[in-house]
Amino acid sequence: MDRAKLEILADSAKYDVSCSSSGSSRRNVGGLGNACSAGICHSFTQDGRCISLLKILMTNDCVYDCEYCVNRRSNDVKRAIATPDEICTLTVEFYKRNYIEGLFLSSAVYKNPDYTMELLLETVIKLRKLYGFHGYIHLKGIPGADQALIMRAGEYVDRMSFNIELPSEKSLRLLAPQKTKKNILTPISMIYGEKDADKSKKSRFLPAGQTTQMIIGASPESDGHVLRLTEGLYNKYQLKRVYYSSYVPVIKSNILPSVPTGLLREHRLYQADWLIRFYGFKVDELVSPNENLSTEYDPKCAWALKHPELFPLDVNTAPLEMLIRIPGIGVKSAHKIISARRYGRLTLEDFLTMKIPLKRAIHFITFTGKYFGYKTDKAITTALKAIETNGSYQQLTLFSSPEVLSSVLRGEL
Amino acid sequence: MIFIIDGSADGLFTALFNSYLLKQFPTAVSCGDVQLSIDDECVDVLTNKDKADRVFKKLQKILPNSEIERIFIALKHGDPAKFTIVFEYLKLIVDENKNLSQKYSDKRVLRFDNLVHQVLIEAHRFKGFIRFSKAPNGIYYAKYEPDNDITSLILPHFKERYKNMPFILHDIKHDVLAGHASGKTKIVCKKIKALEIEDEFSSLFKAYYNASFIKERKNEKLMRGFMPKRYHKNLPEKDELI
Repeated sequence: MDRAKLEILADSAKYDVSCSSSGSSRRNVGGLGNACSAGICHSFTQDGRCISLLKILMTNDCVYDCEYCVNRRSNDVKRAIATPDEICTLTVEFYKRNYIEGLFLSSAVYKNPDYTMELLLETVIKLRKLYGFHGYIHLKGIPGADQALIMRAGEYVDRMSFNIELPSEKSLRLLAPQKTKKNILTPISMIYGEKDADKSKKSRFLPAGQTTQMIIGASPESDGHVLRLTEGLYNKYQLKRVYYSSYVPVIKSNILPSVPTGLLREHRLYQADWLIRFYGFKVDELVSPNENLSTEYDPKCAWALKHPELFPLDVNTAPLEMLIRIPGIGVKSAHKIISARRYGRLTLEDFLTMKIPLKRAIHFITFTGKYFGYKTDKAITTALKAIETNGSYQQLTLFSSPEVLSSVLRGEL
Repeated sequence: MIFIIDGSADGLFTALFNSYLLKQFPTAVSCGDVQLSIDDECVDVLTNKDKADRVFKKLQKILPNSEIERIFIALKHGDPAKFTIVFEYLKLIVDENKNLSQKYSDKRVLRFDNLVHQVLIEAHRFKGFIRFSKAPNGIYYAKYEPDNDITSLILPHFKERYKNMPFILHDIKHDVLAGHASGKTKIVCKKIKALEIEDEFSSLFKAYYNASFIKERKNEKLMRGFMPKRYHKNLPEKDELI
């Protein structure tokens, strides 16, 4: 593939948030490559996002005209199309040099959904069979393509994703008129059914499951709405991840906002998403349906402030599921506390030694009855707000919470 | 009092043995190449295989294998202070005769745990940051400069991944070379000049790297947090000459 074509096809693919290479432990059976279940990041772009997979479009030549998309039919951009062999060669050569962990192949809808899906399927079959590639493959599904093609692709790749695109059917109709809720949800549900039917570890069907992505801020839905949708997707279809992409105006439009949504909203959604997946929170505890998440506090802090009856908690007796509900205490710190208190009662000094972050937590905990936080609610809320504003706005990013940071290192994002 | 050891694990174990024998415990343990202040009293420790083995057997009785392994990982750290930290930790384990590896409220345990953690994190990062160039003879060569001596920790990963590909890993900071061909690997410590190999794909990867950047979200500080500047010189995507 020549440089100009690569630049067009990579530039068009970069707005896809997912770059994870985790969740699969595909083995190298006499060819090239394997997958590492923890995921590996190979580089980081100047916006701080990780490069794990060669994220590229088969083509950016699209018959659809989605309002928000840089590749929409009516937009004047350079178009290119790659052949399956060009994609395979580039993947293998990059992989051999350890530039990448695998391939993330997506495409604009070229001619029609079936034709596009056939091209994608041909590429992944070639890559596995002809090029002997056993590294990670994430394939974007084309909504509306023949079901047999989609299910067949699932036999060859590690992960598939169909993008929800927008958080409601109404917005989808307005901004992506050629895509329908049915076309997107049907394959998601079908894939779930197939995976559910064969739960054995040896199953070759999509070992890393499926994910999805939606754009935040291009349409009017609240955080409460978005998170309920997210929770539903996790519960109903066992998605591995729901990604949020904060809206960036890349092309002129009369019906889209002219300003970007900003990273704070996306950041808060990811924080809430984390609480739902790893901290045992229900959406109902975090935000009501028509409400947005607090901008002043992180969602866990906001929740804790609403529940003064539960705090302060004693770190020497609280069970794990409550320790992880303390603002500023992550899963890792909570496990550290549990391990360390087996050897004796923990004091404030022990927490300092163990480098457990206390900035937020100090106002919500006691050490065998001793409390070191501020005395009045007003002093506490003022202090907590100050933590958020002190410099953190400038540095605020998609990956700025410690949990997200460590998962970035593991290539989960 | 400072114990001077030869830098090997056996040297460290011997130091521990001697300190119990003499009932004198050092304030620090260091390897010969460290600058000492004038009023430090230094005691040379002669590595003794029998003494080291006795200490090792004692540790094996107290600690599970996974924790024994962590001792050797900690010793791969690039900070010369590691010998003192590991020494203090092992002394605590022997004194208490208990597996205290999770007693994080003890500074000695925590410092040791940090050493291990830093080595493992860097090893994980370099599974990603290693960059091979294809030499005209078909061998893939990678040079890199990690903070810690991680080559033996990452070699199995690359061996499994590139089963049919001959490659050389070259840590030019610690002068460690690891080679792989047809499923066999070998590691040697040897000072050899780093090779400069031109590879047409490095410029293509740089083009890909630059195309993946969303300019509206520029955040170089975040990028450097994940991929520190000291690693950039061996990454083709960060090479301004390509």
